[in-house]
Amino acid sequence: MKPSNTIQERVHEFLRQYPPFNMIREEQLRKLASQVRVMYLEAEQVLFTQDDPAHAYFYVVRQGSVRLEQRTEEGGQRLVDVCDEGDLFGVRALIARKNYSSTATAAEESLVYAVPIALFEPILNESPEVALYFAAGFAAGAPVVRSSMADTNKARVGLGTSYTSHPVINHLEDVVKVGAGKGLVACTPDTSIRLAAQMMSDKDSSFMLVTDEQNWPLGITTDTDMRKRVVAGLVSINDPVEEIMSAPVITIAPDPPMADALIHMIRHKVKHLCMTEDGTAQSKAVGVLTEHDLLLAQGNNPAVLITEIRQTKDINSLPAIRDRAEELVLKYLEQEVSISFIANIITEINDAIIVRALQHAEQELGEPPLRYCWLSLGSEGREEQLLRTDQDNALLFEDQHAAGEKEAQAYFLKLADIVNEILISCGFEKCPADMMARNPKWCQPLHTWKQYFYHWIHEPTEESLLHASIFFDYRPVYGDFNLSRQLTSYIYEHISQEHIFLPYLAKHALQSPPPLSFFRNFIVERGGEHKDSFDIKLRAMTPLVDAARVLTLDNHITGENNTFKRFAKLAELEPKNALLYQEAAMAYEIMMRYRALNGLRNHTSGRYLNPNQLNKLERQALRNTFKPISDIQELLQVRFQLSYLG
Amino acid sequence: MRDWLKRLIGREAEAITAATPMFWQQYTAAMAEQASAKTPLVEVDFVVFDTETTGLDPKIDRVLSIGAVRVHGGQVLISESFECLVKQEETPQLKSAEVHGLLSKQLEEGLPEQDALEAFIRFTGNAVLVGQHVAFDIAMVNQMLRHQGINDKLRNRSIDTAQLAIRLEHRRGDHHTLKPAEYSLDALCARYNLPTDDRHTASGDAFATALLLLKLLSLARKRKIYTLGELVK
Repeated sequence: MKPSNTIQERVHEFLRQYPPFNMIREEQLRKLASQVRVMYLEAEQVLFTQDDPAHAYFYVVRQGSVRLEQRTEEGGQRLVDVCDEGDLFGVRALIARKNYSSTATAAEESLVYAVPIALFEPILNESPEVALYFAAGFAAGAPVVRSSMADTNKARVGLGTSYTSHPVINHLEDVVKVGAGKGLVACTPDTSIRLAAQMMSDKDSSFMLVTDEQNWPLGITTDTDMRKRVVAGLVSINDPVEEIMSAPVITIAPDPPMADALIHMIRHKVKHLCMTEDGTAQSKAVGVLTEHDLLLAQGNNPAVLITEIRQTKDINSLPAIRDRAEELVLKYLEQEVSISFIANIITEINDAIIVRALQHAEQELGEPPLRYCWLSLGSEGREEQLLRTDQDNALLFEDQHAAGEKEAQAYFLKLADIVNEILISCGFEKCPADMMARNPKWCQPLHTWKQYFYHWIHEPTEESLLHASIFFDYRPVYGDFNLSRQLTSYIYEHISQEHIFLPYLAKHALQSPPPLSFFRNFIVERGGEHKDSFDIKLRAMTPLVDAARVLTLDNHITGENNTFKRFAKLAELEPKNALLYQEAAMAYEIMMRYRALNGLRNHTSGRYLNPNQLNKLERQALRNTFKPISDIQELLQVRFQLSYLG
Repeated sequence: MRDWLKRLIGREAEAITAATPMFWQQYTAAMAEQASAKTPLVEVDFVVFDTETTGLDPKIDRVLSIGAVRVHGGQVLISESFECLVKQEETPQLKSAEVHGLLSKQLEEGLPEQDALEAFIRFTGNAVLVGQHVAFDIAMVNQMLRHQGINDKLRNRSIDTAQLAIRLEHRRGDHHTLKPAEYSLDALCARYNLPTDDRHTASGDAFATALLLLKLLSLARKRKIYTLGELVK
């Protein structure tokens, strides 16, 4: 082959800026570039027509833009995508060898590179990255095979990181290994404390596992327990160790992923996990995992943050601790840690802050006059918050005679005010719509809350539905959870009685259809018009949250707020729609990630995305998330027969 | 008339002698099958080219580099592109070295003029030659021919993109109003929204001119110009 010359080099330089060409070895790309043909298209000139046999080339926009359209059943044209500089189209021929599924028309004067398929095929077969790019349907137009969000996500992760030179090390998905036996210092329950202490000291262990004769774990005692109880004279060193052990022991299967171990420790507020053969307390203990083991394996650690929040004496130190949690989020996002894990961690941290703030407020004001329950609403209620957003919360207290309620409300408003202020200081801004517990309207006894929900369910006005979408995702965080359970069962009872409510809620979920695609620095709407900023919350996330909520209610699933878990549950209950629900959940995960990254980049809540700041791969991944949204909206339309609702 | 024709044929016959290099004999043979005036434009073989020279006088200045690319069927064929540097025997007067970014040292690595000429002629064959102010570039190639002792000239049909643009943009009669500056390659590319990175090398200019040709061919089609004869008249 001739060495490449200036003209071929220019084509090469253009192509290598864009995926998937930037994934191709330089020599191979040069060779490919040298075989390109350049075409000029007049505005409105058609390059290929739907159902035409495929050309021997696929196309890349060099300059200008190309519209892809499909015929509709009514004989009109439906916009499928708009390709701008660097976008690939007409790839159907490359992979499926089928006729074109859409018509390509130059939207303006355009230069287009035609890339010979015969030369590209070996690259596709040889490079897993390039194959993944096509499998994920990142090229413009209708995907060849129905590509899945899983492919999109895989491509987003796999191809996205190929830009960075260092490999991503994902500590959290690593398993934590503690040598079998090595981590196991155990004795029987009748062993004396003295002997147990001696054994711990000999083996230099911070704990002693207590097991029965079959080696099943019964309890655990730590050097702290011993010091506190024995030294304080509460027990004698000749008493059996079972006197001071903590039981039951929290168990986990051997070699757990770091993330699981961490969640267990945080949930159960323990520093030791006993690994058993099958992960339950009814099997042999094989080792003990300590928080220290995790710290060593991981470095910085959310458990530490949470412990600090729980133990801090100075309420003013909370904001600084909360800021450190944000660094954690960034680190996790960079490491491609799963979104549900990050959201879990952040929820635990936020909950710890709320609990700490409430305990502080109770200390200031004295014992609460009535039982109450603090409710988190919205994304915090759904356990889906990654970055701090405006606070949405409410307070529910038990019913009493009118005077008692009035008095209690005065107390709880003061309590809520202290907590709301602490949350503000921790970076959770005031809710602009004032949906906060210190607002008297949202600080009410159980019967008033029942009235609210009664009204929202039986008289679904626009305002009711808006409230419903916020208040339906409440989650008890602190206090008497029995109160919130009573409210929940009241709500479900009424929903099952009121046949008009769910269709209205479903209709509300269709208010904002997702956009179609990205074009240069704009969002392309289905009607073809362009917008320069993208409200990812309103246009892409809320529609999925709303859909998941109404479908869950329709299936009589109670007490599940989290959008991922709702979709998982729905997939279980409706196997024929399982794929769609999984797609939707994955799309939601990708959007949460982009929103958080956008927020961290710009020090905002991340809600408004500027297409300018997205690279080609990010745009393509996001564009692919729009499809499950419109699919699920279609499903709502059919299921609730919304066309009759007017 | 018949005499004139005889003389012409005679001269041609005379021109091809044993001393004529093989490539020029082949060129001459190929020219017999040059596209005719009736050839539809989509079938015409175009070679868009540009030369970089030591100056603007074809009598004394020398060719330093040639860049060219083939256009066929409304497409620029990147695989059919040509580029060479010419090593001139005499120290070139590098007046325009700054413009072209060609340094004497680079030119040392070029082909001897004889080889460069042969390679270029073999590349173009009987294609229609296209260039921005193509007459100058053709004159420069003719000068190379003379240097190499070939007593002949290029006989390809040719298209000057600047002239073609003027013709397609202006209706007959308003030519006196046009400003030459509006028909420079830079101005034309800007006007037609064509990418112009890497200008001022022979290849870069040839590529930009090739894209300009695609645009002009498209304009011509709108004017119902379908054959080569209608385009070059």
